[in-house]
Order: sequence, then structure tokens, then C-alpha cells
Amino acid sequence: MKKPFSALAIGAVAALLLTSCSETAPEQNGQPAGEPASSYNVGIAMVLSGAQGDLGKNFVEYLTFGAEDASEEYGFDLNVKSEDALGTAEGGINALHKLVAEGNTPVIITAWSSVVKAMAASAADTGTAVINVAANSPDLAGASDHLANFFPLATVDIVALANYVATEEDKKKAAVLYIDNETGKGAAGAYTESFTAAGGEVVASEAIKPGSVDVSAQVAKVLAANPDTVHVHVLGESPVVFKALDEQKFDGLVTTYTSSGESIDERTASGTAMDGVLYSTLSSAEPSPVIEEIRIRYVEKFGEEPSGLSYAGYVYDSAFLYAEVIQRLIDRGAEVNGSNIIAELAAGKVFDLPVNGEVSFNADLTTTMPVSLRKISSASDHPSDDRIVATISK
Amino acid sequence: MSLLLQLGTTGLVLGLLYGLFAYGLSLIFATTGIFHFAHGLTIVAAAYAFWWVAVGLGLPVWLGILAALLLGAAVGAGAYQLVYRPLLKRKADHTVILVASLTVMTLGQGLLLLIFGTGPKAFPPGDFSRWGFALGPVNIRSWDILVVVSAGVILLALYLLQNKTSFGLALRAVGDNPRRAQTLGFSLTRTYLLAFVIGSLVAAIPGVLIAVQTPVIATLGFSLLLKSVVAIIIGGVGNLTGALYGGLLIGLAESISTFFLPAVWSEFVVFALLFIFIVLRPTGIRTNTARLA
Repeated sequence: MKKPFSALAIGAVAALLLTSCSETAPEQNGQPAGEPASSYNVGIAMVLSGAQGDLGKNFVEYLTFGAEDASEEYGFDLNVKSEDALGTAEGGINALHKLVAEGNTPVIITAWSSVVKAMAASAADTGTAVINVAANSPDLAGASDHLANFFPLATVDIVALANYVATEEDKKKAAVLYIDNETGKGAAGAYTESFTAAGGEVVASEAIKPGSVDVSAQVAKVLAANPDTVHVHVLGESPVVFKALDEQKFDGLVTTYTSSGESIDERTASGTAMDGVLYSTLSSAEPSPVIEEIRIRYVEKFGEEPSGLSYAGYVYDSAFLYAEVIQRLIDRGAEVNGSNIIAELAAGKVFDLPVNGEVSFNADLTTTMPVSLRKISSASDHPSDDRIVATISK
Repeated sequence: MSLLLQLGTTGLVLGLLYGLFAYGLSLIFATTGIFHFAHGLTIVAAAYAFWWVAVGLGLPVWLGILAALLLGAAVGAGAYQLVYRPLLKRKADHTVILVASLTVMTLGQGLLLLIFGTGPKAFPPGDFSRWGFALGPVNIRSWDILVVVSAGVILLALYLLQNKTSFGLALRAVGDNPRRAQTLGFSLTRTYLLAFVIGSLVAAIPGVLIAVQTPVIATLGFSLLLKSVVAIIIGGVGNLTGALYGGLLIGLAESISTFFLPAVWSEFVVFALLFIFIVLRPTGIRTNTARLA
């Protein structure tokens, strides 16, 4: 009885070895080299669970809308394959491997700095192009030669915000409250550098653990340093922070960034504690008809307002970016794979996109975009009704 | 100095929350011998129930509190009747019961995610939440007063229950010596169920208090559970007042440590404190001479 079993075992091992040693079939990336296909896969790895899950799901919808519209324009289908990146490095890596192995996606759209960073490290190994559409940690610049940061990093909007607060709002002492992860640390660093360079002083800086129930200790500590402005750079914790600032009667200028400022969930949860907050956004100062169309489409599909509209343009446009790259690769008879996609983005050519207009990538595969600063009159208003106080060009 | 006093006040309030939560867990353990990890699910379920009734349905706040208490009690009673009791009947090993408890917690969290979604659920701030006053250099919030008053009422009620009622007598008797208590006519099943219900009710109130102050997410329970376990070990396993003292101590340590260190180190300080107790006083602040001391 042992002999047939051992023959079976040897046969199974041999089969495994043969399949693993074979060259990656061109079909792994969707189509034979140089030949146009009728459809291409695009992966999206977002946080689909936990406190930020709703935002991630919105992003998947924005990409789906973009894929549908780009498919119509370019004549080939873009199939969206999504995975939950869990908001962690491990989750990001697992999502990347699943999308590559099972989804056959040569490109993955993603966000959340810790996820992007982790995926970037594995992207080159798998020959996958990773496109960041919402993470802004400055560390992401040049993190991998297979990572393209479509979304401007904190060195763009947070720097502009800090500079504005120091020079135009004439604030001299700032405190920073930031989420204890890559996103928060990077932004805190960028804010500190810019505020200091503009003549101000960062008098206190405290990290907030993700999922914190109470942050009154951190808030009390930074307020004890008597700042005249506080920058809040957290994720789902912003209602807790804004409430604590309000309860401790801070009457200086509170600033934040787009993720908190434009989140309907967080504005509702923060209530009046968020009134008067100034935030940076990378959405256009002029209302975009395409974004409005996305918003209407979302409301029609789900019966509720979407979140993260500031990011919608980047996520939606990433489908068109990918479609344009595919077209250019087809035109020159090249295979649509991760390495070629990145090479096309890095070539410095201009892409004309529906929301962001003409965009080109810098040498380090980052972009530079205009920044708007908006003030919340009432947190119960829709973010698009917030007053624009400044627009800072590229 | 004023900052230190402010942090101390914050720490006391937070510590009361942790202490209440730990008290409920300790009550269950002291009576039944079961480390009810799914206690973390109770607090989250109660928080969601409160939010759903008071905010989602727009009903009066007192109805939200009632819903939280009912659901909290149901979670505790359900865990006992459906999970622990069958396992105890089959004389399951404590490890199996522990794993079952963790499984209930995880499954419960998943169910809450399915029902309520991933977005945070917040109790909208109002005039009450902005009310506060200064007591010397210390700023006292309305929520601080709410926590202190609630804790006082609950602890008084528990004292009366345990010392002035037949229910309390049953809890103490069974917790002290289950076999002897059984021979004296106390029903183990009913007493265990009572322990789970009361322990869960004690956890449901912190759930409501947290929902008032913080957006509720399904994973909230686990970090609070971890702190209550630390509180129980520091306070003395199986000792109810010890659990309360343990909660107060870790609340104070967590808050006051931010005066000396960056806030991100506060959790490290709590676990360092736990380590010190394990090494120097493993029986905890209040040595447990009886299971319900």
C-alpha cells in the first residue's frame, strides 16, 4: 500500500515543481504581449473594514465609475478587482499578492500610507505597478521604482497649509496632534518644517493611538504649551479630538486636512466642535462637474452622500490614467505589465484627465497639484459649501 | 502643576470607566470561575444599542439607556446559556472555555459590523457636552461628572445587592465554595446566570458613557477588555474592589504618564506597571482570600 502512495506523492511533487518553474504565462497580465485585448484587470486594495472602511468602499465605487467611463471611451473593458488591505502593512502585502495571483492585475490602485509603503516594497518583486491615490506620507516619494504617487504627498498640501497659517493667519505658536502611524508622522513632520520655516514655532506635538477612546490627556498636554493654533492630523479619531479641543475651551485656530474636513461621517460625529476649522484640500477650487456627477451617481446607487470627495477625482482619474497608459503601450506594441506601466508614467509625458486636467509625474513619480484651503462655517453643511479662503497654485 | 492636576482628573475619570468594566468581569469570574473574554462584546453591543435607539431611531435618551442595558444583559446571559453552560455540562477544559469565549467575542464583533457597517456611530454633541466648569486649575467636563455619578450609583447599587439581598448572598456563597453552596440549596445554574447578567449590566453602563463621548466602532471592545484584564490582575484576580482599584490605577498611570513622556508611551507604562505587579505582588493590590472578597 505504501508504493502506490509514494508514487502519488512523487508525482504530485513533480507536478508542483513543473508548474512553479514554468515561465509566467503572458496571460497572467491579461493578454499576450503586444496584442490588444478586449479587457484589462485593475486591482484596488483599500481599507474595507474597521473605522475607515466606509471611506475605502467609497474609493472602490469611484474607481468602478471611472472604469466604466474609461471603458466606454477607450473601447476595452477595465475590470475592477478589489481586496481589503485592512489598513495594515501585512494586509496590504496580502492584498497585493492576492490581486496579482488571483486577479491577474498588472496595476493596483491603493491608499493609506502604511499600506502603500508595504505594497511598494513588494511591487517590484511581482512586477506590479502600484498607484497611490490618497496617501500623503512624504516617505512615499521614491519608496519604490514601481510606485507612482498620483496623489500629492503631504509635502504639498500640509506644507501649504502650515505656511498659510504662519504667514496669512499670523499664528506664531502651533501644536500638532497626529495619528500614530506613517500618515500622521509624515504629516506632522511636514507641518513642523513648514511652520518653522515660515517663522513660527511648534510648541507641542503629541501622537494619538488609532482607535483611541479618550484623548483629553494629549489635548490637555498640548494646550498647556499655549499654542495659538492646533493642527489635527488623524483618521477616524478626529471627532474625539475636535470634541476634546472644544471641551477644553481652545479658542485658537484649529486646522486639519482633507480626510477629516471632507468626511461627512466625521463632520456629523464632531458636530459644532468642528465649526470654524480650516482644512487643506487638493480638490479644485472650482466645483468640478465630473465630481458632481460622481456624487450624483453615488447617491442614486446607494441613497446616501459619499465621503472623501476630495479623493474622488484621483481615484476616478486613475482609471483613465491606466486606460491611457494601456492605449499608449498597445500603440507601440508593448506588453501591458506593471513595469511597462510604470515606465510610461515615469516618461514625463502629459496625461489629460477628466478631473485633474493635464497631469504629469515628476522624476520621482510624484505629482504637484494646486491646494485649496477651506473653512467650515458649520459642520452640518456639505463640504462643497465650505468657504474657500485661499488657493495655492502648483 | 495645573497640567498635572488636569491629567490626574482625566485619569481618575478614565480609571473609573476601566474599573467598572473590570468589576463586571471580575464579578463573573469570582462567581463562576470563567474568564469571560466576550465581556468586551457586551460593552460594544451596549454602545451600539444606545446609539441605535437614541440617535438612529431618534427616541429619548432614557430608552437608549434601557436598550443598552437589555442588550448588554442579553449578551451576557446568552453567552452563558448557549456557550458556557453546555461546555460546563460536558466538563470542558478551561482552555476550551477560554477559546470559546474569544470566539464569541470575534463572532459578535463581526455580527455588529454586518449590522451597523464599518462607519463610526457618534452621539451628536449638544449643549450638555459643551457644559463644564473650572475647579481651581482643573477643567471639569459634563462627561466627567456623568461618569463619576454613574459609577457612584452603580457601586452603591452593587454594594446593596451583594450585602443586603438574597441574590448577593447566593453570589457570595457560590463564589466562595460552589459545592457547599449547592448542598445548602443554592442553584449553581441560576447563580451563574445571575452573575453573567449583573456583570454584563455593570459593563453596559460604561458602554453608554463611551458612546456619548466617542464614535462607536465594532473593534472598541478588545482594547477595553485588555485594560480590564490588566486592572483585574493588578487589583487581584477574583477580588471585586481590587478590580476597581486596578482600573483607577491604570487610568491614572495612563494619563499622568503623558506629563512626563510622549502620550504614545502611555500604553507601555500600563504594561510596565502590570509587569511590576506580576513580579513584586502577583496576588494584586487586594489579596484574594476568598473568591468574592
